[in-house]
Amino acid sequence: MAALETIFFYILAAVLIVCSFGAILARRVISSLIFALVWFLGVGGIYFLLNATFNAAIQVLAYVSALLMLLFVAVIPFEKEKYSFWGILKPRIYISALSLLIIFVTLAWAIVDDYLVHILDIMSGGFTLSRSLSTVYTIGERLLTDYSVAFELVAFVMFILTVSIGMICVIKQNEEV
Amino acid sequence: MSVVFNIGLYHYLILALVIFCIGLWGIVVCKNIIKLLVCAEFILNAAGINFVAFASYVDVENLSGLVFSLFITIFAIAELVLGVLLLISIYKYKRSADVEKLTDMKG
Repeated sequence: MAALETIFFYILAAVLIVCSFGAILARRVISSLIFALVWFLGVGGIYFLLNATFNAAIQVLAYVSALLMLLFVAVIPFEKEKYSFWGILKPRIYISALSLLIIFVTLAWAIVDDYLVHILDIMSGGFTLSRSLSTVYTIGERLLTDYSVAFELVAFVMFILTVSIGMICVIKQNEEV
Repeated sequence: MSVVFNIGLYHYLILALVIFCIGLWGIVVCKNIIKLLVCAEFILNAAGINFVAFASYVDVENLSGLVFSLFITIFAIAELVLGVLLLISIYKYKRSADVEKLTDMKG
């Protein structure tokens, strides 16, 4: 098990270092973003190796969706070359289906993993082990006890940010009309 | 040899340090705004790896580092989204994503 962890660590470390150099040195922005996409998946793998399964799921979910948004909103529309490949694939349908599939699999995996740890612990006869291993349980408990103020603050900042972006979009739309 | 094959806290810290340095180098070298944003994400994620590594190896009972890592991820995504919005508005105005051409606020 330790040997497997060692092998995975070195593979992920190599992927992270190569992809970070690739993202910086790539000539085209699309190539750079694809390197970055692989890089963020690699960081998810590192979190998984560190038994932080919930963080790995959030990492994959948040960054993959943010980078896909960056790719389709800010990069491809401004590229000079035409991408017939994307036209054939109908990106709206396939990419949204793929994103939803990734969201479902990662969240389901995080929950099932947590539940399995809990069940295995109950079968082995104690509840203390599951408390130390079950990251979803611990994160939820800590967010609602020790870090409740910080948690609410982040939620408030995100709310203000979302409202600001929405307001800017609405104002811009009215200006165009 | 056991230092190489037994993965511990210091391996993750060295990996995070390497990623942090590469991200910092990228911020110095890159001129494209999107690449700069990606390099900033590298630096933030290096800090996140440190938090998770310390949580897994040192603070096993409380796992506070995982919570901080979540906060880092949330703020990094917010920064990425704001950066993209700024990029789009700058591109409409300047027709370029090169930071060296953005000199309007120069004193």
